[in-house]
Amino acid sequence: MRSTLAAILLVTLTPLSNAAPRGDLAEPTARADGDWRIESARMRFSAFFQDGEGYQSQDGPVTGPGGEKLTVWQPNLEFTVRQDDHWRHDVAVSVDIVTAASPDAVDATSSSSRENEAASVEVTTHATPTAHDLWALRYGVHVEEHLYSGSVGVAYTRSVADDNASIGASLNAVVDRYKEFLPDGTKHGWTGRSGLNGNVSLTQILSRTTLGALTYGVTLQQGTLQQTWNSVPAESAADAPKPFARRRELLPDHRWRHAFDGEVAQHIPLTASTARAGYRFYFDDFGVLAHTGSFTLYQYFGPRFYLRAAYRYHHQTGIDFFTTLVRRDVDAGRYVAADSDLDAFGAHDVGLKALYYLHPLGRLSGGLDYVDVSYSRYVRTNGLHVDVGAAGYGRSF
Amino acid sequence: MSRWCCALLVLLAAGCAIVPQNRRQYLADPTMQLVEAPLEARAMNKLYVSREAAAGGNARAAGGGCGCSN
Repeated sequence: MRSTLAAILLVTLTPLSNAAPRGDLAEPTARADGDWRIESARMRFSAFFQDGEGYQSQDGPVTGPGGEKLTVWQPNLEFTVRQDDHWRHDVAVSVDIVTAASPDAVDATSSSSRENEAASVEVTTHATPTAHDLWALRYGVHVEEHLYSGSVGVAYTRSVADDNASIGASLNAVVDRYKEFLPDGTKHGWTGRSGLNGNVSLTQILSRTTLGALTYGVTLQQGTLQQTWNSVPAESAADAPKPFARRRELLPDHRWRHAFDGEVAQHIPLTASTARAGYRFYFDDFGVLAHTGSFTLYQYFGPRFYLRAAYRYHHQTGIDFFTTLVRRDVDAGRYVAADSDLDAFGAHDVGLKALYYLHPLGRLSGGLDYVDVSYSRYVRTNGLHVDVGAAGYGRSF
Repeated sequence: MSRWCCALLVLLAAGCAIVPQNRRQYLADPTMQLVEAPLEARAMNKLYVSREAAAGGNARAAGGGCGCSN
């Protein structure tokens, strides 16, 4: 049965980086309490075209790999509501329309893998009791076929050294509840998982043209962490009629994840350019160790138009219990997974974007009125690629 | 690893400067914001989260979604 998704929610503590010390910053004009108004709105429409293979998919030979072709249409809307000088609310609505997602046995009883819609609503309420303190409360819901999710978080950011630096901390929680479909399409009632995440961050102005940021985050996930309908190629019992079969993916019931992020942005007034570089180091107790580097270059052509070129490279080791074939002597309680997302691979992501500011002052206006188009190509070394096209529009009021 | 972290912290600390509010016009440029395009960042983050085992830990709890939705 085709699912109809209700709306959702998720909340984003403005990633702490959003609270970076900025030089702009037009102070909000004095407003009477309770005089609510929409301050700005942004929309974006994205299309994702994925092709490739993965051993968790049953869209292929029993020993894999199977097809991972899918298409996603994703409209997004976000608007900012100003309540008064001290309160602001960011509301984000996101919809995913997915077709042909990794066909597998779950389609025998549902369409969740063949065609799926998902929706999220996320609200972030910002409070600035003083000029140097920012509190943010985030709450949201997410709904897709057979899955319901809710999240909540809180963040605090303090500006110091005459707003030349900010330090922040945040705490987030998410709970998922979903139907437990097995690889053969049968359903085993409801199951769930939860995640708890904490972060600390530092953002520092390094010069008139340079900004740096560091973040550390730790996440604990608990519950049913495997995709219950993911399967793993396996040898059959010696007396079975067929030599190979599929068994279910099984992962531990908890996972600790750690991520360190660093980023530097450098503006070059002479050429009207901005260069950004980022690095992320990640490890967890599933055995994944990952390095991610990124470089982005913006080039203005006049005050109202820029081109952006971006490159990102990600490399990860696989989880300790990744396999593409389970031997028959491996007992059923052993952790196994064949999901290619959990394998060792490298991934290149190259993108271009063109943005035009609609406001006569161009970038000097703060960049709220714009149209943009972008394209990027994500290519994994283990046989998967995604083409992403998008168009966006933003408007202040 | 710890040596790299210490080196980075020292480098950043050495580079700290007090820049008066009225000299931050370049820092105010939209391209200098750490999250330059929130909607785009959200979409691309979702792409990475559902395709890479190393996602998470970036100011939000991991979870949610079947992983097949992009």
